[in-house]
Amino acid sequence: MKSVIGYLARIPGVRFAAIISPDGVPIACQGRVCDEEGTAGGGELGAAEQAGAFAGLSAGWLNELKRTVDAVTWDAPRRVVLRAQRGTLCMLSVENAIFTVILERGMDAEELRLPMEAAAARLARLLGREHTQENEVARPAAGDSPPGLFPGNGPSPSPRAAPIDRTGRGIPEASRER
Amino acid sequence: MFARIFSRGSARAAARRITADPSAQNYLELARVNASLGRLDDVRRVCEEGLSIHPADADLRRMREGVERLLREDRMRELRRALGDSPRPALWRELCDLYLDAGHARRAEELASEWSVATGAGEALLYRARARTQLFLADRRRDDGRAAFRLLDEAARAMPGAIEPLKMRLSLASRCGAWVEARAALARLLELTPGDPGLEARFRTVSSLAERGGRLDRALREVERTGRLADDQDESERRPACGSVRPRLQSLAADAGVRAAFYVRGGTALVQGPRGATAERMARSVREMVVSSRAAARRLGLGQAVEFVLEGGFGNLHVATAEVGAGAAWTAGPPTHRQREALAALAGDSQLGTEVEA
Repeated sequence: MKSVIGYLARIPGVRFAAIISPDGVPIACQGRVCDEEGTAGGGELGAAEQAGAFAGLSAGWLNELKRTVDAVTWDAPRRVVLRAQRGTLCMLSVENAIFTVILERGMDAEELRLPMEAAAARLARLLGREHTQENEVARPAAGDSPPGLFPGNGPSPSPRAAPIDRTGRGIPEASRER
Repeated sequence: MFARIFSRGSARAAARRITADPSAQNYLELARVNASLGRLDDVRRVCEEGLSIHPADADLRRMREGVERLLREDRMRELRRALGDSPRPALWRELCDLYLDAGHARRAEELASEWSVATGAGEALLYRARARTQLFLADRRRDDGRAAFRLLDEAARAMPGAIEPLKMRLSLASRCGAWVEARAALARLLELTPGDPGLEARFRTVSSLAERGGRLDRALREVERTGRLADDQDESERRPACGSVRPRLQSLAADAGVRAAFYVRGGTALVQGPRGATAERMARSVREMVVSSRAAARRLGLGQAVEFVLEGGFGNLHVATAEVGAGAAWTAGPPTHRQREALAALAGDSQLGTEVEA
């Protein structure tokens, strides 16, 4: 996560970059929320608190926009840009996370479109890899798994399981033993 | 050396041209020649003289602002050096004033904090309060307003009997509509300067306003939410008597790729494109987005919102906001440069708005 956000924060003109959860909790952040004058949304808080306050406020605004566009049956906006007098806020929604970047005054948000999309793709790859690893750890050995509830056309999940007699002429082995 | 000699000659020639024809262009030329000679005081003098004859000339105004900024920066450098050598109140005061004039409120507050720590003077607290007030009036953030009131309280305690903190408190409370606070400040001012007819009249007015409410916290919250101060001119009063927004909106809506165009001002909106209930619903949504985005920009410390863009499966919604109005366009793809310019003009043009309908 930090490497993904570091890549964005290193771009000239980027003051602050963060990945935040949809409910406004900062996951990873880099840079300073304040501008040169020290003006920021966090008032007189420390850097971590400022980042937290900023994440909460920006996610709150995005959720408010989502609620508003719901009324006109539009789907949730994927990318949102807010240009103001002392900087520009860019937000990109990806699955379960929001990329949030503050640009210095005078920088065009379009210059950040490609890097943000690249960072989002990188994050998706990272999360996908972690998800696959988690699945591999969580999945038990194939032989131990019970067969499915319904018979399928594919091979049996367990190679040791007895083949199902679909003709009705054969006598199951279990019956013979009795 | 030679360049300087020639420049002096051209300065004399430019001065003679002004005598023959005192046009703005000739004043500008003389100011430029003086600037090339490094005579910043002369540049300022020439610009002021030119502006007294041609007050609307943008180039002369720009040049005067530029030279004033350079002179101010020079003076700031001198003052910082002098403060390093022998810090004293007169220097702190002048540097704080320069920072505040230049709009560097945070720097002014930092400097006043240093001053306060170094000397413990009540005046330093007053300068901190002034800086916070400037920030509050620029960004309309509740935290800044609250901090300004707190600093004014501290300044009043540090300077017993001084009327300046009370006057500032009265002014700030009146601007944000905190009438209860304003009444308290006026009562204290009347204790210090009894019999002042102006203050007494104001006290009666503010007392009647305070009866209807106006607690500090609620007033600050309201300013942050709406972005408007209590003494801001009403939008309906600011509405000009001429001009029309409809033709511009129609031409924007007729542009290629534009699905709908909106103009929002206060609680009213004009829509071009959708009709009936859809138009109403969309106009309401755009208005809500404008209000929430303006408030978000202030709360996030980004200052006044200029524009915002939403992109998604629905296409693009580009909204340009100004102090009073906002123009929006819903397009299939990214809006063109011309469309963005049209939106900015729609939002910021003060000649618009007579046809705004509910």
